Amino acid sequence: MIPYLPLLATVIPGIVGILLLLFGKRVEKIAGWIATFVAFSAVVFIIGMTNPLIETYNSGQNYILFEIPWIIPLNIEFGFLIDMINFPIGLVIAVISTLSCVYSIKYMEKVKNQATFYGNLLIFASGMIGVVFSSNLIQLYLFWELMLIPSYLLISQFGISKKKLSIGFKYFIFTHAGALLLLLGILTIFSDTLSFDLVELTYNTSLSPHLIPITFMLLLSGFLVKMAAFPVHTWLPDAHSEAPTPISAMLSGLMIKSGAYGVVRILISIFGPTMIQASDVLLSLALITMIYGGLMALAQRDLKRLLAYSSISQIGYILFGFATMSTLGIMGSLLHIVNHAICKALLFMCAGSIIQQTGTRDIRKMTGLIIKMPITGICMLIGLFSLAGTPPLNAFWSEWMIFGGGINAGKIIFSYIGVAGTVITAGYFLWFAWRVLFGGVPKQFERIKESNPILLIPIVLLASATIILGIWPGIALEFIKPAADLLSSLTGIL
Amino acid sequence: MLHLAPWLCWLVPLGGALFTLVLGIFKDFRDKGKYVACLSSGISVIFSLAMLPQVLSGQVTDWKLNVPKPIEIGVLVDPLTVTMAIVISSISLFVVIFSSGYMHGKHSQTRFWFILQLFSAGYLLVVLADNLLLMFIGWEVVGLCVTLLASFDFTKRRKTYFGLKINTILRIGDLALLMFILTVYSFSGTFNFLELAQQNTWIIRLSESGLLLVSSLLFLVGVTSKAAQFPLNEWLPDMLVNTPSSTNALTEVLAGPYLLIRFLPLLNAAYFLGYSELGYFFLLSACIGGATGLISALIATTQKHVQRIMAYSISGIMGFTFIAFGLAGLNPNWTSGYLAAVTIIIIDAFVSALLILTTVFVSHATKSEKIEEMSGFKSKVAHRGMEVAIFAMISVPPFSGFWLSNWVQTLALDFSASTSNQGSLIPTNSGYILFILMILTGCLTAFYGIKMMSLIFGQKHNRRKKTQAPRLMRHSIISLLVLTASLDLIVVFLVPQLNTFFLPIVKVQIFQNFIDFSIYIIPSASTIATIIALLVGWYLSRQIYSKHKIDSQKLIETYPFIKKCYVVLLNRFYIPTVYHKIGITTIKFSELLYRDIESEGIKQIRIKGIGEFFDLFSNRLVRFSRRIFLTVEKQGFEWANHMISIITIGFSRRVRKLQTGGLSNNLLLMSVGAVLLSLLILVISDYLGMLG
Repeated sequence: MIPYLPLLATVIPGIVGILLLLFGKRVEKIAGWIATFVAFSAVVFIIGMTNPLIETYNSGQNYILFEIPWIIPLNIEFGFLIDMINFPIGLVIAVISTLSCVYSIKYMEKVKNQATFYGNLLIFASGMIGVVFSSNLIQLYLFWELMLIPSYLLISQFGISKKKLSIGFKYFIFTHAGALLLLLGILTIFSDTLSFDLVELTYNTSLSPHLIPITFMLLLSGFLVKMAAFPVHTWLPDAHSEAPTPISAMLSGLMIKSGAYGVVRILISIFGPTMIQASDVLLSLALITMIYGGLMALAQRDLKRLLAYSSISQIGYILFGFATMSTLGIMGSLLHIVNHAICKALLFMCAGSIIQQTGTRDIRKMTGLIIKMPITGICMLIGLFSLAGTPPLNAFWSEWMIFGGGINAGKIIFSYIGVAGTVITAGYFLWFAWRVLFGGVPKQFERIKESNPILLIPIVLLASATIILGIWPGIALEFIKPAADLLSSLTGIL
Repeated sequence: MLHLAPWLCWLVPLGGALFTLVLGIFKDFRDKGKYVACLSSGISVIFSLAMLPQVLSGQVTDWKLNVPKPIEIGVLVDPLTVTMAIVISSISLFVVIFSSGYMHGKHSQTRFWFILQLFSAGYLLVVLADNLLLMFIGWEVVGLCVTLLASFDFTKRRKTYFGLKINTILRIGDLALLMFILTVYSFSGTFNFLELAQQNTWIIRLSESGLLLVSSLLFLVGVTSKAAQFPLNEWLPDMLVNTPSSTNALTEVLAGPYLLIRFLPLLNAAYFLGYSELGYFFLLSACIGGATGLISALIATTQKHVQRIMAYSISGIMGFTFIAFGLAGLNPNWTSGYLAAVTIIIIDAFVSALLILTTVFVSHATKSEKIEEMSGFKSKVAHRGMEVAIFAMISVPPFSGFWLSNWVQTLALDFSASTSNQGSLIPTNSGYILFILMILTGCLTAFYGIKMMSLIFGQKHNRRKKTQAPRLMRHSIISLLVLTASLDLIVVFLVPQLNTFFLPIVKVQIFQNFIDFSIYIIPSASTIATIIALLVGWYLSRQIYSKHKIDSQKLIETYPFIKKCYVVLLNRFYIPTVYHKIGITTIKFSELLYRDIESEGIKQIRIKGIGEFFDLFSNRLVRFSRRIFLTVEKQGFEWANHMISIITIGFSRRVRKLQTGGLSNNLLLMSVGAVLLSLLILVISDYLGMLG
């Protein structure tokens, strides 16, 4: 059973998603609960891999590989690779997808075509889990594109404004263009090595030197588009603010991290020396992304756009840690993938509840909401303070590791600018909290109430995770530290 | 249980805070938070005292937990941590008891008691942590609690604005400190204080990489902000004005000076090993302290809000710690400076707490925080409390301020004397300048201290309706008064004892008994200057505010220069305005960037915004495809297709004439065709040589 767990975690949400799309009309009313159950089953399957993974690691092996024959003439197998790098990311994807399903039950209850919504959501989740657990590049690419289609449909069908079609189109074109660059990179690797296999490429095979720069550039471009790094970020604010809130939580919290995962799984593992060479350029790009995203967030008046720009800024942090190419920096970035996913999902869900209760997204019209919505307000404050790097909340740990990694790697100026740049993050989050949550309650908000308990369940759970992982960061580091050590040993960095 | 004291000392208030939250869930228990807070603070005092025997026996213990690197969790038990823990936990207990009365019947009890206990826990963690990382967590928790307390009355927008402002100013310092911590970690591989002290290779490497001065300055920015020193001092007045006042006594900015003192032996040793860049760091620290003292005292003379005056007085006193630190760092025999800084922290904690609680007591009774509206207040407890605190603050002999300010002034004069022997001009002058700054500060402090006393207690009976202060407030002040007065008066005996207590750190016993200390302080130019400054300040203040022989209002109106100075001081050198401008400019800049770069592009130079690139690109693409459609598709391929069809039709029409329908004609033509085909095959075969 255990070898099949990653297969089940990946495939079951996808299959049930397709079934919901095909026959969903009959189960329209309970589609949300079905989706929740299925997404939760993925969580259980992934948690089931914990012990085998730890045992494997303790026995001196770095990964669990599970493969079944697929395209025999090309010697390609359909497989799953589980190690300390992708396990926490896969788990957080499954958990947040489950919580998004729970949140959607109430949030999307008045929306038509529920089954279509949940069907797409599950396929989307399946795509993301598939990306992180894929054992070969072509399979990774297929799941990469599988993420795109349902997310495009979710934006363009369930979007909240009249511009949903054009925004969906923009999202599709941008991310698809990125995916094509990724495909070109993958095919270049295959043409040279005749292998798509990640384990082989990581540990045994190396690319011809003359192909390394172009392949690296193609793959990097593909990942940067998905991460929404500056200047290819413009799809993100539109898409993330247009999507229904539970999907925004998944897009901002999870999907953009698939780009970051690509960087760590392919670029750092396979192209380590090139990453070191490109370090300064990537650090500059990360800093620009961080600071520019932060400044844009500060200028926003739309609640969801603010959070969307904040995601761009936070992606800058993650890219920074990877670009330092130091153990501590990589560890920080891997941890920040998890922490940011939790915090951003929390913030989007809080924002969704606020929008639902107040009927507006305009920050200027909001004030004193913590009085009327105390649980949502407090949880939102937890998320905001966490991403602002306040200890003992979870994002504090990852943020200091990221910049500590920079100093470790001798990138002193970059790191100092990065740390100084975090004042912008604190600035826009605190300004936002001050504006929206504090102050007197205006007349038009006097009748609003706290959100429905079903909406509060994921919010409170995510806020609790933020605190628990802050007080006890060892839970996540148990997996992430070996991952960072492994990556360091692969690339020979400090 | 007592062996766990270093952990439980801060974990108990933390647990109390969490338990208060749980109690808050139940309506009937919401007002019971104060009991939890009293209990947790009391237990914390016991645990902090429980560490004393171990330290008195000369033991230094570093208790580390086994956690995955790079995380480090541990507590340190040494004279400095234990002293600070006792001071902080005791002040917390007084504040909690006082607040039990002050907050009686007020709203948001759960939140208040939660924040207060979290504040104590954070503060205790700062001083008990054995490493920089854990210390920084406590540091940030304290900052968070300060923000939450400043925004306590969050329904009032203005108050929440101050929370935002305070957090931003503190964050600047916090980030600088974080940069320092990360740099130290990167060069040493550890956050642990003892390990950092034991190995100095990291300082050598830092110096070689040219980062020693930069990182030490970052460290200075960090502690300057937390210690409310110029120019990052403006958060403290806003904080004290906006929090529930009873908590103000806890906000005594001890964390910054504590960290300075923690690093003093290490940095001093490095300086005298030849890392001269640290000299600038020490000198700058002392100058910051001197400037803060003078600026704070100047501003305090014109302020009307009593808590704002308290804030400036705290900043000023902490300035003396900075001066002591800086001068100690520049002196190979740093013990005296170290002990001076430690003693100021200990004594000031109690003196300032007493002063703040007394003023809050008066404010609570008169229902006003404006000093002029408190005039004519009668209360023996408050009067005695304020007398003891202010006499200590303005250096009236034999109160503690007299000894301590003279001590630091003597250090400055000694420093000047020692450096003048070496012929160094800048340090010599710096010592004298610092001395003059401190004397001026003393004079101004005496002026506003006596002004406060005169305005509050020296006027005719106030007709404003007064509230009876709750017993707990009264009891708390009386207890603190007794303790502070005792400390105040025995400071001359206390210093030699502290010297003995701190021997594991300072290694040298410079004061064997109180006579040594008295001889060190009294027969000096500093003593005379201190007394003159005190008398001048006192005299002027009494002439203006008590005897009314000088009309300050008339002076301001008559002399434009005095008026200008008064306005500048009243507006606190416009420092808050500058902060506000910076904040607003940043927001406007980001809006401009969003509008011009991200959304619309810079219209003037016709550059499209990044966000519009996609629209522009897709529009151009659509236009391009339309043009291709018209030229290549319509006029090219479709025309060609059309022509092909016309030619085919024309050809078939012509060939149709051959289709006569007569069998004989058709057979004839077929025969001709067959003959021609045969001939063609023969010719080709011949050509290819196939027939032989």
